[in-house]
Amino acid sequence: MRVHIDTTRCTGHGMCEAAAEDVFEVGPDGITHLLIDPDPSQRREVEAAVAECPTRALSVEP
Amino acid sequence: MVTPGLVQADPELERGLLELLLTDHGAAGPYEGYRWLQSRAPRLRTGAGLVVLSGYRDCEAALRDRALGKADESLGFALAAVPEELRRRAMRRFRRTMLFRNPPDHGRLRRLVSQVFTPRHVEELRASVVLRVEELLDGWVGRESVDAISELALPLPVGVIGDLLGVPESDRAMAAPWVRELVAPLEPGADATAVAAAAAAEDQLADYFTALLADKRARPGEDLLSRLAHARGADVLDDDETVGTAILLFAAGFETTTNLVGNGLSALLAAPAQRARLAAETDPAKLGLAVEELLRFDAPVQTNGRTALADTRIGDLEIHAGQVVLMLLGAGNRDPAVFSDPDRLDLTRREGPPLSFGGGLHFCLGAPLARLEAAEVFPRLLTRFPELAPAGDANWRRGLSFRGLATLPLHPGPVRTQNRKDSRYLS
Repeated sequence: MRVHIDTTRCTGHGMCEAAAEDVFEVGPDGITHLLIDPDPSQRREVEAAVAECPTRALSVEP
Repeated sequence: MVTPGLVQADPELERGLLELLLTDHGAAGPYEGYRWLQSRAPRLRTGAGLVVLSGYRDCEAALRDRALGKADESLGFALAAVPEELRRRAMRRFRRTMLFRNPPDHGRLRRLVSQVFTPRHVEELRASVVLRVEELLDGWVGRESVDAISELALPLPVGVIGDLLGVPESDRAMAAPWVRELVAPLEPGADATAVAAAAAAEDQLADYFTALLADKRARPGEDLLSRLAHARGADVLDDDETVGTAILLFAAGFETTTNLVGNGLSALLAAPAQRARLAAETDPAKLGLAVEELLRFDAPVQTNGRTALADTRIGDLEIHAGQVVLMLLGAGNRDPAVFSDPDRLDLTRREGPPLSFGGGLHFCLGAPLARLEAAEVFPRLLTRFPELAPAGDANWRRGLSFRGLATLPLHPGPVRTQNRKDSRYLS
């Protein structure tokens, strides 16, 4: 599972952090970063984060 | 051709809309008016071209639509005659904050401060929020009557945001009335007097924060204003943006949360079974749901506006570039198509997020902090004072966009001595 963060769109709302706290973290630069390469078992949380992103900055490949 | 579901320029509807936007709604709130509008014209285009949305799904779609952005819509609802020059002057700096900007400026301004308000960082504030709640409630012990607004709902969030920003404790009370005047033009009924007062209040707030930011730049601390002062030094934002952002964070940090606490408490006092449920609740997930329901039931912010930056559609409704869209978030929160028995407070409801924090790019930056403050204050208050009861009539503020109480007199009653089971943070 590959997660892509469009750093030009991300404004660090942190909704992804709320949905998948083990995967995303908003850094001091105000944009989110991947903490880990998510495991297939985390797919549901990651997909929730992608769906909830207010700026549509996240995408996930199968 | 008439768009289905869209009712254009009907004199009776326009009169009803004006009444809804301009009347003082008091304890009952604007909810009957919303229902009337929602059932007759969930998508209303007025003769002047303003699009008014009152359905949940339409509001949600509009909030997330990137073609609907920010322009002069915040000054465009003004239904009273206000001179153009005065409108431009009001909120001159405030309107250069992220609240009223589009990409890429919106992102540039928001990223500067976003990390501080993420759920992870806000969690670190929990212990200090709990301490503030307990201190304020200590002041209620043994009292015949208290005002829940000035003795809890206001000082709690002002204290929390004041600490976060680094606003000295002694200055906070002074700045609070300026904030009320500053945001008054966001009310649809704002007249020339209110807009002039807002311009003056912004100047006062700007003078105050300019001096404070200079101080932070000379002697930086760990607080948010020091971070802003540093960013100004690095030319990430200009003077007006810096001062405007400081004002915005301070203002947004309490005007809304005060009303979440006040409106929520008022709703709970009127619903004894729900109140008893919340007082006994210790499961954080269920507490979270309860807070969402209180946000839905009587939202602190009832309206939000956008301007079409390009032609777009909301469902089958065509919106053309330049048109202003007013979203009645409080109406969407009571939409029977989404919420069953929407006028009933049900703290276990799981029917979708309320619109109360807005959505899309401008989704409330402080939402995690507001949720945390609410989740700590309600159960602590209700457990500590099990016989809490109204002490006379509550006094509601005027206006629709910001719905809240001026005063909420209460009899605290005797204190429950036994500790809550989850007194994790209190030894």
